[in-house]
Amino acid sequence: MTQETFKNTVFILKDEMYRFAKRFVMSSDEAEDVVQDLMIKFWQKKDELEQFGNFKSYALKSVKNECLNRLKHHDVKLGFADLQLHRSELYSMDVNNLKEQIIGFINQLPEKQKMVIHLKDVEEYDVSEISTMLEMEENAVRVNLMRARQKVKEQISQLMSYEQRSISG
Amino acid sequence: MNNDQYQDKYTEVFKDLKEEKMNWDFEDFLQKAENSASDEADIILISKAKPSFPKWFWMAASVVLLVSAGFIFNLDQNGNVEDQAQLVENEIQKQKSDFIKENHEHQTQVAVLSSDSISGEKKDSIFQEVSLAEVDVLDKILSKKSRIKKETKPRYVNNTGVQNIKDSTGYRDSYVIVNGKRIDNVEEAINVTKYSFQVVANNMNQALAQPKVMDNVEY
Repeated sequence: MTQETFKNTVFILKDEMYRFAKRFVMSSDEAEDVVQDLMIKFWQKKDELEQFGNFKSYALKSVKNECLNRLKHHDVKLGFADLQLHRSELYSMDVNNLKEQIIGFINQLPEKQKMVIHLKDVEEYDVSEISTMLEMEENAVRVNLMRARQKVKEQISQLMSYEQRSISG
Repeated sequence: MNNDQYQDKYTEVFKDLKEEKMNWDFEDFLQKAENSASDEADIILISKAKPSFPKWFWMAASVVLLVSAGFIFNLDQNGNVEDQAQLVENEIQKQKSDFIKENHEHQTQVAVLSSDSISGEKKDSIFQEVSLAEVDVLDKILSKKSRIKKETKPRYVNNTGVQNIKDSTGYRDSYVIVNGKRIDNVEEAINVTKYSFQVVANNMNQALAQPKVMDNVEY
């Protein structure tokens, strides 16, 4: 694989990988770190990458695994309670406007729902593509997507009604 | 506020999310990749420069040591067992020979034991156990109490000088004395005895024929 090919097929996925990583690791710096590490790994094995039919799917799977590994490591390092505190601190820093709050809702979703809603509504993949990427049944993808959307919409409506009340009050 | 507004907000947020980009160009990436590759190469060289000979050497040495220790221990164990077996065998042989030496005249010793206590009781447990272990027909017939009695050690008395001692009553087996009267004849003695028993029997019948109520007994 030449440099040019690598740039056009693998490196081009960096933004997508970054956004997907951000759903897991919360901080932008850590998401960048994940993508950089993975890109370097891909570069080192660039000759073997051609054997993957759907490299995009492979890359996103790698992001997911890397992020989960890092979270596991964090869990061990900080302990569950500290991690929760850490996360809540992060949220309290970010919730300065409605958009950040909604992103916070999405990030608080269960892992599968979070991945599905991101891949469908942000990256605009088909259900069949998501099912192969996440190794899930298509029906399971649909169910998770429906639940995730429902939760996010509920929370948006609650937030907006609260804001309206506070403005009118 | 209606559903459309929620939907608009939702779509807007997700659109914003999609516009997020990572600020990283390919040149930076290549530089980083080369750096990391050279770092890795260095690491590989260092790891190659350090041969793991001592670790393997010590592992092999410890394995050999363990195996040899185990082998020696095993041999020692076997040797001990063999020695012990030999020792026990020797002891048994020795005891056996001593026993045979002591008891080579079994029968005579039995005779002496049964008739003579002066020479002392033979204290040989093996011998006594053997005599007790013999199956006796009486054991099957007798009650438990009698069997216990039977199994008690017989006690012997010295009777060698008994025959020489003269009876103080002047008793001789050639005659009997009944009511102070000497009877030499056997038939006469039998008759007298029979008569005496008859008298006793009559008296007993008379006594039994006249029972009396005992009024003076208080309950």
